[in-house]
Amino acid sequence: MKYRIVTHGLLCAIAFLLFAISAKAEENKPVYRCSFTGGIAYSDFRDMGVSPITYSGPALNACFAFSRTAAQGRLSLEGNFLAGMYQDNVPPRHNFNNSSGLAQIRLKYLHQFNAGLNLGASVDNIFLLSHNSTFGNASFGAGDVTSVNLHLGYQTPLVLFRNKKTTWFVSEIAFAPISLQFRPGFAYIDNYTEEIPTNSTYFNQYQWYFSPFSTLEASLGILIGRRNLTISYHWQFITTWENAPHRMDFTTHSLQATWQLTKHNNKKNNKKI
Amino acid sequence: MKRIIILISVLLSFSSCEKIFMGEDISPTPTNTFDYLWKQVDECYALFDVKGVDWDEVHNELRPLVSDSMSDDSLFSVLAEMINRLNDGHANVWYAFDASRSEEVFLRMYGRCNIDLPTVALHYLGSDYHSAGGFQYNTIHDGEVIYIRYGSFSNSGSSVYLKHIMDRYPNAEGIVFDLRQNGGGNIQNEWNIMELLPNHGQKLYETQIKSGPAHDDFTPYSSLYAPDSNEKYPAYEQPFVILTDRGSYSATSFFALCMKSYSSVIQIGDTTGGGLGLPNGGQLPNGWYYRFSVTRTLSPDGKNYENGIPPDEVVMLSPDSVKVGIDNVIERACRIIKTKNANNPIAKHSTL
Repeated sequence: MKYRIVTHGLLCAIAFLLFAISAKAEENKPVYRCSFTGGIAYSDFRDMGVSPITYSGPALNACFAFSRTAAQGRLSLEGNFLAGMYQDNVPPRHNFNNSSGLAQIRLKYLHQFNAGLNLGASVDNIFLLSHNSTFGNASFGAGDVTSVNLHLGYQTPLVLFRNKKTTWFVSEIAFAPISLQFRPGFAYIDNYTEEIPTNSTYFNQYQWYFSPFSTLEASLGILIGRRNLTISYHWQFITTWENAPHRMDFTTHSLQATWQLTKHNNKKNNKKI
Repeated sequence: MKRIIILISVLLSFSSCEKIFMGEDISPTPTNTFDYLWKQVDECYALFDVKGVDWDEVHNELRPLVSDSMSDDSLFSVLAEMINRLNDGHANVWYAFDASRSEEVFLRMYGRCNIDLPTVALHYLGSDYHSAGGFQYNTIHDGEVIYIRYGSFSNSGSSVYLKHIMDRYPNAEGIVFDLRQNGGGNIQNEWNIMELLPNHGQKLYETQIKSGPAHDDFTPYSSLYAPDSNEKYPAYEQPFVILTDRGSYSATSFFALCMKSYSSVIQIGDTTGGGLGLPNGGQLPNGWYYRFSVTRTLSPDGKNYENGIPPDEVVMLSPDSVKVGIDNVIERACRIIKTKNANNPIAKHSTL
């Protein structure tokens, strides 16, 4: 509990720091952006608490983001959701008997340097849910990963066709040096058991773990037209490594389209760009 | 453009390294599958002390029988043999074409079956019986006793249904609640039923969950107490007799254990089948499934009744009675109800 309080305190401090840096950077008129992302994905999922076998399958994802850019600093709040149906890889393959969902909330600050280089940090919270009724009293699995991430981005003009509008190539990688994870304990019992239904026992067998480099991300894409449509490929890897009693790995490859709306604070210049 | 190509190469190779990050799945060979199951049981099974099984000895005996060239049928036989050594009805291996079961538990459940279902159906429930949720019910002994057959805790045992039955027969002297050959199901149903019984805040049982790989790694005990009665479900104060046999397993044994703490409830028939360890499931490297008990449960006075809850009064079904259409266990339950209501309560047998 002590570590949990300290870690969450640190995360709050970092979030506050991001706001402070962002505020300092906003000496000029800020630009507000709102973006909606939809994508199709393919995920691999393995939770050693219930199965040593990797489950794979298609998924859909959606992301909503709001950002505020001033000078060279950009502060954004993002919500990302992914839901998929998976099957194991051992013959005879079952139908898609495992379903999973992921909800991610991210507060990120990126600072743009010369030559299209972006550096920044974010505080993330990822909540994972999975269900596979075959596993009886362990049919329900949940996990939470709270992490501090470092981001490195790069973007450069890209001329695909002569005499056409300039497009941009954008790329970014991110990783979490440290994270705090909330995972099922040794017996991996979910609340389906209702072993102690008279008490409030949600997640009573869950435990907290520290884990380094628990999330890795990479994305690359193309900004098209007047910089309001992005087509991108995104890869995300979430793991507990061996720091929890039962290791969990989750990877997602997704092809996404992002539509971005921009609003300048200056009323005379309040139009999309 | 050159820079972009380099970036794309770097990022794609980064993402394609996920197999290295994740590591390969365990190869689904018979030997790996055997070793995986043995280790899972060794580290997570909660009832070694009650079952008295030397798990290392089981490994030494059965591991030589496994080879990577053996057929699925042969491997299944070995895995079933291994997990059946636990003599636990909650310990099974299964896949699409077969499922294991402990011979000892099987014989215990069906070899001492203490109910004749046709007799119950023809002479107690009758063709005009009613059903509510998982309950089949009717009145017997000229409407003096409510007989409820509850065949599985997997079927709904909602308080609403039970309350409806009680309200339907307000003049009945008591309830015979037949749980023989009830193999268990959803443990929540027992709490629904207990809402209608007189609550005095009594402790019902204690439970522990496996917390580490050593055989004695457990969480601290959690105590469970009788659920609160409320205005919606006023307590049923009349005698309540439950009938059990060796086929009363898992959730039914939990229910019988809880009933020991209710003064208005009497358990008669045979000892239950046990199964007070909560089963947890998982998958083997070859895609088959397993489950076994990962918790243990003690009565309020600290005893482990994993192998069965003894009745307050042993009443075995008489074949001679069955021949003439009489279930002498139900008849005994009716006599107990009438006797209690005649202000001549029978002292509960202190079998726990």
